[in-house]
Amino acid sequence: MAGETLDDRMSELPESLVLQILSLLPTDEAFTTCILSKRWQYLWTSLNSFIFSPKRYWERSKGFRSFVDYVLSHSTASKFDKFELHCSSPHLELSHDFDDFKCSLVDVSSIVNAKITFDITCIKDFEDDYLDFDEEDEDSCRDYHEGFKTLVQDYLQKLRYATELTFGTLFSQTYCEIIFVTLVQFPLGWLVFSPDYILRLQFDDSRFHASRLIPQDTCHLSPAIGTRHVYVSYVVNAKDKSDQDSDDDEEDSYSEDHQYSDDEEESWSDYFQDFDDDQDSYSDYYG
Amino acid sequence: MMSLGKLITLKTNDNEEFKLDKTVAVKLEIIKNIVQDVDCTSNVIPLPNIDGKTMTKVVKYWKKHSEEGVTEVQLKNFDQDFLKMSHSELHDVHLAAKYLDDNQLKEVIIQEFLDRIKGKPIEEIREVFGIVNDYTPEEEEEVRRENAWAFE
Repeated sequence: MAGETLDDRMSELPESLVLQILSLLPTDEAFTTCILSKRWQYLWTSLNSFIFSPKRYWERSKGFRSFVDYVLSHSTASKFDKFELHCSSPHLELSHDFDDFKCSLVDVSSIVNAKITFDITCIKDFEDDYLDFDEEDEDSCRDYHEGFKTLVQDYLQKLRYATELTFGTLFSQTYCEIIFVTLVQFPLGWLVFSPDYILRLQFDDSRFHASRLIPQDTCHLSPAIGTRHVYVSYVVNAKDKSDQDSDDDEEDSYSEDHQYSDDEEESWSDYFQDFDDDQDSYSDYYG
Repeated sequence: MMSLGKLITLKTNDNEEFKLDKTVAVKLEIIKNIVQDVDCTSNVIPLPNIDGKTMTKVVKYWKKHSEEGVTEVQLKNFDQDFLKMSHSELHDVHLAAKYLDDNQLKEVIIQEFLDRIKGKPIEEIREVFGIVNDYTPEEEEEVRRENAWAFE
């Protein structure tokens, strides 16, 4: 057989190197290497970096969720280095599909680098008439978002040791919430579980512009309707300010409002502490 | 700790010697570390895990990347040429980079491996890397069927 005369060096590559290569691939592509040979059949179970991005045909089926569940439940990794989950789906499907998402099967609490992109579209066309919601709309919209909200909260609790969190259009989802509570308070409490560890929060959102985070105050959100891809990045680092430099490549996406002085930074921990204390009141709003 | 002379000599496991200019070596953290670790009176640093053929490539890479005034474009072109090697050679360079603790070179090699398999159909990945498929046709069919979602 001709194949046997070929140099099988890739197979001889040490597992650690193969895994490093595979971990850079989208997870579904890494997974298909199980067909290469018997040696490769279960190699993917040792991956500790994941990039889940649904193929087009998966979006409206349960296929994507099944796949993520399958991979995570077979993972033998004790710690994830990277976890990226990109969802693009009308939120109705999402809330059904993801209600019982099994990420609890694995310990994701030690993830250090997570990017969660829920690219969802609200059923309401609130770009046009978001101010005209009546009571009925409120209720139905709230229901639609419930499953998703649970999922997000679940993630955030699990990701409390993450040093870097990126959320996609998450706040499209909270848009309705904010309208409903007449912009009293922004549920930032969700996001802040362990401020010592979070080096960067990034919100990629097409509808909101978080103009400024003010210590001891709430986040002022102003709708930036029609604005696409507003990136808001904060470096929140109580330990080592030099880390802020690593964010330089994000500078373009800052608006001036997002810069804050050292003094403000000092008081971040107080700010977070207050939010922790106030956690219950958020549950009242959003629980 | 030995003193840094004008030239530092690296000696591979097949006794090939590479003389690195101090200005090149100084830019390389890794060499400085090795120099500090090695307790010898001469300026020769033994590299017991690396052969001459591989070290030739590594030194070539180092020299280019520490060249004065070299542009990004030049480095990109250099890397492209540099990476034109068989995957077994690529593996050897990766091992050397690992041993020498050269993260940049390690990443470059891994990226090259990635580029060679990314988006390729399974059959092509097997061909490119000469992986012998030791599944029987029945077994392969079974794996494909079990994981049908991934092979659609």
